[in-house]
Amino acid sequence: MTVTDLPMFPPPREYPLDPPPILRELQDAGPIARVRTYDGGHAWLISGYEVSKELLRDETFSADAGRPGYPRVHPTLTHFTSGQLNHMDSPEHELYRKMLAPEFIVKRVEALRPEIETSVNHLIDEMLAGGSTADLVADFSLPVPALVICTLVGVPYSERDYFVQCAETFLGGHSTLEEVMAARASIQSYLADLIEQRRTKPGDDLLSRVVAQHVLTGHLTAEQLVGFAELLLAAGFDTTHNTIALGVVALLENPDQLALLKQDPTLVNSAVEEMLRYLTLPHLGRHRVATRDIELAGHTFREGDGVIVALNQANRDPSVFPDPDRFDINRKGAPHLGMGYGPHQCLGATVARVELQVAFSILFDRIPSLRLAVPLEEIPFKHNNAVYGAESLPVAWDSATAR
Amino acid sequence: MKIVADKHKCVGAGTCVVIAPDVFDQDDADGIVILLNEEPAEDRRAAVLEAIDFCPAQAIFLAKKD
Repeated sequence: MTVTDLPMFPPPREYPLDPPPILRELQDAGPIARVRTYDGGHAWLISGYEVSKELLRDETFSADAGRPGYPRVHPTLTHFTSGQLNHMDSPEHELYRKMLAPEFIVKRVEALRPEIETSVNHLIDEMLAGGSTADLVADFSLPVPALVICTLVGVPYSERDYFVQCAETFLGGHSTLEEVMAARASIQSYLADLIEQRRTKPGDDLLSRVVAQHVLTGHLTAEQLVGFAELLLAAGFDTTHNTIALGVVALLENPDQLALLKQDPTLVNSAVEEMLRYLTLPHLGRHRVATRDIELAGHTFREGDGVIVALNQANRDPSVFPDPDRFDINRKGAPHLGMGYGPHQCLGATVARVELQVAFSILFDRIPSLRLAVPLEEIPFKHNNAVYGAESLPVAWDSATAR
Repeated sequence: MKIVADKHKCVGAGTCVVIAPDVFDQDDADGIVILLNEEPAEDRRAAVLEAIDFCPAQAIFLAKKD
């Protein structure tokens, strides 16, 4: 087998809500495979559920993107600065994660629920007032997490549009690298100013509290906090808004499941978990690099070997999820890996869950006839973004049954 | 079964609280685990094992019986 026979990662999709078909082929052949990346490098691709967990819990595999051999799978994922929690290893990682963790505890995040409900209802009011068609991305799925992040971070309401615009460019797949870097610099400078203000004028938000407890006490530099805030944006915005949009598509593509949800609204939490499993939108996987030679799952990894953990395919592992490609909101059994696993598992999982639960407990209740206004093939899916989703989602409904 | 939670290892993720809110809670101030019930009934074993598995800090375990 020549080098060019190895599959390229990331591979192309066919059915837009399933992982690329080649990942199923690789998974059927075994939990560990070898792939090529765009920069001419190679990496191990893990697609088995159990092996994914084993690897992600083993800190022999470093998350430090600066280490030689760390896999490069996307041109915009090449620049890193200090304060990037997702690229730290122990003990530094735990130290910094603990500074942010109290902001995401279940109790604190649950307290946001009423405000998120108000936002969601308001967005639907505006959609309905606009007629019987809308772009669900621009008019609903994008604003929900945008507003929540701005609330968490303490971005003043008057500056939300600017902030969201920058975020969209920074995270957008159509932006050139220069545009991404420029938007990023803009956001960094904006956050740095906000943090500066919070030293002397604290508000009731995450930045203010972290400044007071950790920056003013010298445990954390302002620059590191900018890095954390930027990560919250990068990790908490795209993922959530695209899951709302594609969750709607999944329900519309599976009308029997939508009917179940409408009949029994208490299924919403289970439906959200199934969306997280079925969609797994960070489709470039989790990345690690071996810090020494190690045997894991019967395979020898060499120091410097790059690893891609394909969580989207691990979440379709038939040995763990019976009929794995079926979207089943009543699915019981093994927990999915949609929020990751191990030390780096999603810090904002509690926030994401509340947003998704609120969105899906209200949307179809108020607009029961919501449907796609274009065929599935015409939806502009974000094949080239680091986080999968849709650029826009044209929808329509019958105003007579909307409320 | 007897549960042990290592508060030094805990990073306050709250995964255990989401999985078994009758067994685990979090301190309001720092998010660190509070064990509500050290010895839950056997019917909670599956949930407790899941909480142990998914704890990002691997800070929860079952005490070995002598």
